[in-house]
Amino acid sequence: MKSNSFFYLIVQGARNLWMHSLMTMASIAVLTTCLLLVGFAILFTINVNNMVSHVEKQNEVVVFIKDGTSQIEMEEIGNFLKQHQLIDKIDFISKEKALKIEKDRLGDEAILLEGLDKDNPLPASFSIVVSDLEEIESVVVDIEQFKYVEKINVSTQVTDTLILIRQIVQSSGGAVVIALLIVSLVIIANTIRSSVFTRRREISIMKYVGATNSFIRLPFIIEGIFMGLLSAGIAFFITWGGYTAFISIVSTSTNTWIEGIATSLLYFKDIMFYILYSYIFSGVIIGTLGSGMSIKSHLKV
Amino acid sequence: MISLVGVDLVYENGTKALNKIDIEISKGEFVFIVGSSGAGKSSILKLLLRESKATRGVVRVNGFNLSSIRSKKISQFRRTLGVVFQDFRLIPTLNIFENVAFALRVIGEKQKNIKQKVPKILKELGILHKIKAMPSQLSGGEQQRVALARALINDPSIIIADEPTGNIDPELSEDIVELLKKINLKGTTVVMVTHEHELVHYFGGRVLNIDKGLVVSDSYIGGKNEIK
Ligand SMILES: Nc1ncnc2c1ncn2[C@@H]1O[C@H](COP(=O)(O)OP(=O)(O)O)[C@@H](O)[C@H]1O
Ligand SMILES: [Mg+2]
Repeated sequence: MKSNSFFYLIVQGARNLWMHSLMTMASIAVLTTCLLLVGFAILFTINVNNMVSHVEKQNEVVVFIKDGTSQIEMEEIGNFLKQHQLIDKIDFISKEKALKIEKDRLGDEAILLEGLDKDNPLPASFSIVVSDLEEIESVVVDIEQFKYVEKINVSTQVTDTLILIRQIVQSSGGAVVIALLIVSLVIIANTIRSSVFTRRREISIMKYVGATNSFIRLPFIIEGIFMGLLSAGIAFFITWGGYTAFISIVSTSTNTWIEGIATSLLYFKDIMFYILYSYIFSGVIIGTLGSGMSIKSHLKV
Repeated sequence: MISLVGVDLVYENGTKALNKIDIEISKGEFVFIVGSSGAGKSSILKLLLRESKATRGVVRVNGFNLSSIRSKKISQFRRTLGVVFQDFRLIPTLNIFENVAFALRVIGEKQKNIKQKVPKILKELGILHKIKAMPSQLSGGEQQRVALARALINDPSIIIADEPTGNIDPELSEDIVELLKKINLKGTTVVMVTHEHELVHYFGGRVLNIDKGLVVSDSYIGGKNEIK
């Protein structure tokens, strides 16, 4: 394309925005809101995933074995656990080792356990790490088949809650975002339609003097892209300010539980480009689609 | 140059505007198209501009077969034509220079050429002194000259004019037709729709009479100030 045409088209696209600034502002507001929700969903998911993997590492499943289980049976369950696809790590803790750990833990008060050496009440156990938290239930069911398993300790409450919240946010958030995307598309398409309408005289003259279809259409596509970019920029700065403020509020909390969450939150600078690119990508796609839809139905050449 | 053979035009709502029309216009002719309101005059021009596509028959203009032209080629075809309308269709927010320059800008002409061509054509049409005025500051006659300048700026081989004098004081209407006549004498084919019989009889020439979508007569009439 010739450079004089290129500048003409860019200027026309920007001029279109001005000519009905009210509708443009409304479009940008809706698209920005939409992007912010996408951003919220992304930030939330990233952080929850981060927390889950954090908890995942610490959270192990302990399988206690009944006293009197034979060596062969012990090896049988050991092999089963080793070969299990969903189990990442396995540690065997014998009765003796369990007692020693307990003594170490008690320190000075270990005296209380004196004399238990001969008649150790602590069971032997396997400590395992399951690769995927959501699979813990099925692993537990597998292990429960062994009759010499005394009990299985799973402390998945925290992770269960996190996973549940993540699922709720992802599914309901997904629905809200899709609904808002559609609203944004419709609003942008409408803005472009009104832009086409206010410029119908120019458009008809362009046709008569032999401007090409793409030349006539491009300013409107550019207008849509501008709206997408502007919304992306605004949404980015709001997210930046909002997220940073959120972190500083949370991290000054005296509530230990909230403090715990705060320490596992990601810094904005670690994810800002991810957020920025997502915004620009979605903004430009929606802007282009919105104006494209409108032009297809209202700009017959 | 222009040829319509067995052309029907039926609009989307079912209105049959033209019925088996045959028209031949050679290079350099000046043709008046007359007829009552709703006869189908503008419909013929729409076919020539390929704004409408013939429902049946073949329309050829400037070597393009408009019945089979690909939509990508339409813009290229239209650059060989110049159009003026009854309502001038100037862009109210642009001054006279920019209104004429518009026709060049939107086909990607260089700024240097635009600055050269626009004043030249405005001078030819006698409105160079209004180059910086806005359309609203001009009389109807002056506005139509600007529209004509815009139509001529790309050196079209055909000028198509739909009631160009319809919004102009009768005394000034003759000036516009005089201009068209001058343009025609330089070799440009002119097709002009009008319902002002005095004008046709004043200038005379080839007259196509349209009624109810049919060509009811195609003849030369003598005028007080005859063309050709
Ligand atoms: N876009 C259109 N859609 C439907 N009918 C039309 C359209 N344009 C014109 N007509 C009809 O076609 C007929 C011829 O119209 P037109 O060519 O504009 O007449 P004229 O220019 O001679 O006054 C009229 O009956 C008019 O109502
Ligand atoms: Mg008409």
